[in-house]
Amino acid sequence: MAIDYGAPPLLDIAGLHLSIPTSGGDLRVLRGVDYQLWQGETLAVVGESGSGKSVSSLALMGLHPRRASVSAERMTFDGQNILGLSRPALRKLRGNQMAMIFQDPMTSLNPVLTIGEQLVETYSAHGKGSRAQATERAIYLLERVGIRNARERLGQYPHQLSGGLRQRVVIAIALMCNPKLIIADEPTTALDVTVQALILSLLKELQEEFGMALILISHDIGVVSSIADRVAIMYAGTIVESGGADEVIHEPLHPYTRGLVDCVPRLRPGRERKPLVTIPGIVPSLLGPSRGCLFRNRCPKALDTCAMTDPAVQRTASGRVFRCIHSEAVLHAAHTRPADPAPVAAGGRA
Amino acid sequence: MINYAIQRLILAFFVAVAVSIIAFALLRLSGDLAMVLAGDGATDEEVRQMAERHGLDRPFVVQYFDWLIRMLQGDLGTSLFTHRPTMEMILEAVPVTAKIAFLSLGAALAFAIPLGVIAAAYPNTWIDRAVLALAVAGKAMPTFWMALVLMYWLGVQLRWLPISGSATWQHLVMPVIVLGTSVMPQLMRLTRSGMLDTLESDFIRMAWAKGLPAHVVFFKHALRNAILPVVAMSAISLGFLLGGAVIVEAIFSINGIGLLAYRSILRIDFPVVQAILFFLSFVYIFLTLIADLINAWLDPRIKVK
Ligand SMILES: Nc1ncnc2c1ncn2[C@@H]1O[C@H](COP(=O)(O)OP(=O)(O)OP(=O)(O)O)[C@@H](O)[C@H]1O
Ligand code: SF4
Ligand SMILES: [Mg+2]
Repeated sequence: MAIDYGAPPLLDIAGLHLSIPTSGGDLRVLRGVDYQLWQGETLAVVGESGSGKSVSSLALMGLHPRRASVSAERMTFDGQNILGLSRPALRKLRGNQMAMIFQDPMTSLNPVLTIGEQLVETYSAHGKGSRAQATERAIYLLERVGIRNARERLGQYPHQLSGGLRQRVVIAIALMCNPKLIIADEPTTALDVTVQALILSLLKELQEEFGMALILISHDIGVVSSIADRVAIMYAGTIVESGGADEVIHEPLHPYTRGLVDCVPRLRPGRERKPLVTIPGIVPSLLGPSRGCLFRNRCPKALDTCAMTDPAVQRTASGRVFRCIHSEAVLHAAHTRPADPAPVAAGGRA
Repeated sequence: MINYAIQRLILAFFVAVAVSIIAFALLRLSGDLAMVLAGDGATDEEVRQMAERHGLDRPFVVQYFDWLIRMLQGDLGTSLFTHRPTMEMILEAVPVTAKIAFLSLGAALAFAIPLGVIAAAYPNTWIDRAVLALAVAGKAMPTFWMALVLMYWLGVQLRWLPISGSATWQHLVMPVIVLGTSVMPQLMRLTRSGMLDTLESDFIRMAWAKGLPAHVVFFKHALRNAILPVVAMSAISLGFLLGGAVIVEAIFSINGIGLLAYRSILRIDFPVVQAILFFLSFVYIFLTLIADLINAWLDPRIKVK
């Protein structure tokens, strides 16, 4: 399905900040998150553990911890300002217009309620129709996500299903109200490797069939590269780079993106460099305010000025966005250099 | 479910047998009954006769089986004091105790569950603290003191309620308040902690993400998981209420099991004490069985284990 980038975006987030008060001070978990998402589009949000991927998507649905304080320059979904919505109005959006698929299907279904009940109740809670209609839709969707004997499954409890089947049930639940947006937070991390690819391709297929927008959260840029239209790279509570999936993965601009891509050997065909398992260095503390680029302690391109000011957001001609003091040209040149006949050793980057 | 129930029933049977042997042994080993029965200053000959009369000179195993067979025929012996069948005395005392126990547990749960849920819904706020303070106060207040305060206030001063006996429902109000208050706090705290644990789980976050209203998330999704330990605790509380309400029964002059046990112990009426002991043990075993079955019905995972 073609995405109409001329239309207003379905989701438009700019300058999203979120901090959680702790005994050691305010934990500034989100420090300016910006991204846009169009109807029918798949956006992969990629970053290391703790970068704020889950929190930012929970904030979208108003499910962040209650004691957290949230602010944003702009946070609209389908033209409505989410931050301005009352609790009941937000509840009407959740599960109805935007649905969420959580990481661990073993724990995200209620152990004491039947599969059928957990499917049907979403439909009923949003006044979509009678119980009989809900049951019909539940059976249709269970079959659609690849569960056989759907009618019998309705009476079963989660513990009677395997992990892969449970994740299919969770996906069916997300589809019950035909949402405009589905957020899948690491939907395959907890599953067997053999099942992972199946679930991802199922998600992609359903997304195209139902025409919804999909946010796919992952810490593995390799996993999502094939199914995402665009990618947003997250580091320490900010989006450091976003743009078309192919471009970002094959010609990363931001040094962090570059590091992530280098961690996945298969994304860089023809290069015989030793794969880096992880980017060296540690993630900075998110406590309190900060100045300068938070990636500087791990960045091979860091200059003294990186510690002085927050790097500005830059936009390229092709619509890519990145946050770095270096210009596109400098980063581009720097990054293509290792492709030269004499590759730089991996150790040299540490 | 049927298989699980049968399995539980068999287990309960073996526990009952084990309990009967242990309790029987304890009572026989706790002193020379014949000597006690013969009274102070009895001669050796008198003690020997007493032992013979009550069959206490026979081997322990014989005594046990003799007692067991008679018990299965509904013969729990005769009171040494009133000379009436023990069974009759117990059956007279049970209804009023059972009525008070069930009402107290019902009242306790009617307060404990909503309060526990509310406290867990607003953790560490003034609401939570107020509920906890109530629980601590309820737990800290000795039952005899509360009984006396209520008796003086509602009975003597305001003259709203009768202060002694068990003839009408008004007689039961104060005992039920006192006993309900004594078991409510632990049920409330269990509900609260169970709810707090459950509310942290992924499936609750998922329930919120589905846009379910708060009452559905709390009562349908969380409470059904959080209530499991409360059910088990209720069975224990009921057992306690059926057997341990001695002080309250004594204060309000209610002729229930507690008072009967208390008096029989003072009178060294050992057939009655023994019978009450077994009666209460079996009540406990039965209640545990019921609690297990309710939990199995609430939690589909239990049945497959
Ligand atoms: N309820 C909370 N209370 C305190 N801190 C929290 C809470 N939830 C998240 N955080 C903090 O917010 C930061 C971002 O967390 P988040 O779960 O969004 O990371 P993530 O990118 O999803 O990581 P992962 O890949 O491990 O899921 C982390 O530092 C985490 O410790
Ligand atoms: S701003 Fe400086 S430290 Fe940050 S990514 Fe760019 S070069 Fe590296
Ligand atoms: Mg996460």
